[in-house]
Amino acid sequence: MSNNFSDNVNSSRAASKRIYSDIPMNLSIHPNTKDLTVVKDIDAVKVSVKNLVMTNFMERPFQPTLGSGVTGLLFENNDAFTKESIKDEIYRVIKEHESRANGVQVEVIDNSERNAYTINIKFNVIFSNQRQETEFYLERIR
Amino acid sequence: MATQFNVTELDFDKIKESLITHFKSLPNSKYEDYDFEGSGLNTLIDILAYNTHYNAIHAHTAINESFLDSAQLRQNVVARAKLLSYIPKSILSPYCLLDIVIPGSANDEASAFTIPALSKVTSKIDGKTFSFITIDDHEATLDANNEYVFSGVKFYEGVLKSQRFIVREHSQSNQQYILKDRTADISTLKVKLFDNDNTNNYNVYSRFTSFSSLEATSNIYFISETSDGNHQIEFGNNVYGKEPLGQNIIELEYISTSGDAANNATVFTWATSGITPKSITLNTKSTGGAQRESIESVRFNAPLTYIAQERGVTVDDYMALINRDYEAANIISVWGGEDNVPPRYGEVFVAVKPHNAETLSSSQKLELKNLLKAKNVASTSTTIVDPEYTYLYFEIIFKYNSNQTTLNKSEIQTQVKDTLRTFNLEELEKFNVVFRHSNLLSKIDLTDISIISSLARVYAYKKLDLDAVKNISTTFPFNFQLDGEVDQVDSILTSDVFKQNGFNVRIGDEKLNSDERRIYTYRLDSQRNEIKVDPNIGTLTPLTGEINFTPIFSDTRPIIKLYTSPSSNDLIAKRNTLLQIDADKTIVVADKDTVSISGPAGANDYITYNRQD
Repeated sequence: MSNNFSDNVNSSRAASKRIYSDIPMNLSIHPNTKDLTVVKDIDAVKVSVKNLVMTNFMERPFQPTLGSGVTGLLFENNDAFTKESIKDEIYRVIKEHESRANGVQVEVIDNSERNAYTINIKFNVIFSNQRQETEFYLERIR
Repeated sequence: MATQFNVTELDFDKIKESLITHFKSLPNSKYEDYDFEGSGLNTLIDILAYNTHYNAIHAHTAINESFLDSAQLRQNVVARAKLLSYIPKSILSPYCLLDIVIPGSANDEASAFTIPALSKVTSKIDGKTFSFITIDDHEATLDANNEYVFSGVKFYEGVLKSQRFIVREHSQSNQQYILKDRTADISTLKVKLFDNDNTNNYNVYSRFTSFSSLEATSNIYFISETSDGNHQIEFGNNVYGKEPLGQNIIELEYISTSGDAANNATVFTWATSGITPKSITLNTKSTGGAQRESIESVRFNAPLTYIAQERGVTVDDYMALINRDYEAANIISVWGGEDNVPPRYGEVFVAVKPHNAETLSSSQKLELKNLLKAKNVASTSTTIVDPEYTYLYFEIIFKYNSNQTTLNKSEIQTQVKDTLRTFNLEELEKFNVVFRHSNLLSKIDLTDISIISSLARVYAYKKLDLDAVKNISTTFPFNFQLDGEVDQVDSILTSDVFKQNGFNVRIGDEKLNSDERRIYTYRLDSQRNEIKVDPNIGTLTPLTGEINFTPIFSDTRPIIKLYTSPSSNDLIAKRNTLLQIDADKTIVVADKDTVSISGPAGANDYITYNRQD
């Protein structure tokens, strides 16, 4: 993985040193150690971004404003206004709650034949020159 | 180095912060994204913190609810009080006493007439009709005027209701007898036990009060308040009290009442068919009605009752016993004879203000005296005295900024009067209380945001019943130093107008000696000069506020008010004195605060007011 911090340290330390490390949301187990796996650095930021978008208001205890309202927007008409609203919500939640991601660009791709939207988010992270991208599916579950 | 958890935190945010600080301090931690709100780790910490918060609040609440002092739910306060053998008072039915005359005849076969139990009268209060019933038979004999005269017949407000239970065969069935009626006045509860459903003969069970006379065959029942506010009746186990047998019928008979809503009824209409009274005269208006005992009252009374242990020894014992056993009492003051003025050793003085009346009737006093007689320490006696009311009224002048309120002048003045009434209710409706002038001013200032400052000139009056002092000398204590000098020219006292020898007179006073002033009555002539009518009706000691009246004659015998001004702005209500604020007599003046409205330019128009008029 190419990033700023690895350029400034030697390779053996770079291999062990992490800037960010998080647990996987699916709580996957490492096949060898049987321990919980670690989600590192850029992947950790991507997981965080996805978590924020997929969190509804009032879902996290005592933090009613943490999250986005995109789930509710999936029940609106599939038109340009709704897509714009989804985009605004994603911008807002990342700006307010994910300080590691900047230069955010959100694309909401219509996937109406499957009653869904594909969300593509591009952003920069402070320790990498590369633009990062994460994509996921927004689909009504009822 | 790892930091310790702060286990005293209750707040979710603080717990979360503590957890994050702890994890951050761990060396070589595998996961580090605690700080980012979107991270999985942060979500996990949310759950941990929420769980800790939940458990902490649960433990905190459970501990609080386990103690009488801190419990908030009524059911828990009642449960804690039950451990101290205290049963909270239920809703209470007000009762009135009526004098009833039934016309008779010399030819009547029987020489006695009975007003049976459940005879009914009705009365209207605020447009709502209330029924009052007798619960006992009342009998009178024919008098010389061929009339049956019933004096002081007791009518309770409400309707008589009953609930029946069949006792199951097995005593192990944990059968509960719950009186499911929150309007039930438990003081009127009658528990009847029938052998079976086919008989009208029954035994009356009485409420358990003391172990001293309790035997295995005693017909007693135990009562307690249930968690839902109803009452549960329990019977003995053939060791302490008799246990009912299977197929016995238990009947609970009680008065279902409206409580304090039916207090103060004065006009009654006969509503019992078959009897036509010649007259119904009010003896005592309806009093004693009250809602069920409040949580705070239970919290206060339960430990006192426990300490008293069924005996009247200390002042607190008397207060606890009266509070528990004498439903008519609203507020109580008790003091030993050694603290009385003048001292009367061997006596205990009790002053009771009943619900919605100023004093107890003579029958109520007798009832209370008999109640205490059984609990008194030998060689002491109880004297029931009436509360002595001292009424306070004021001249209140307050400055307000009209730019800070949408209320007009008279609306703010009305609000200040309401503040006075609330202050009276919250601060003064008790014995041995201090009227604190500065506290009143603070409340007035807080009445509305526009009120900048306030001034209250304090005055006081007491009521003097001229009928009571027509033949006897009377001591009439104000119990505070009066504002004025012994040798001043102006009177310290004044009064309402009453008639002497056909003249409209008032009370005045003048210097008598170095300590006292002589009290006299005077009228005004056409030039408004004072002409004495009765030059000596007693003496006044300004230093103590004590007045000694000689018998005062008057053409009519009204209750007049005797006005004065206390030398101190703060007053204390000792022994049987009750301080009451007369908001209606109080003058409230609102004055615009020119400095607040116009700034320094308003200083020229600013008016200040003297401490005394």
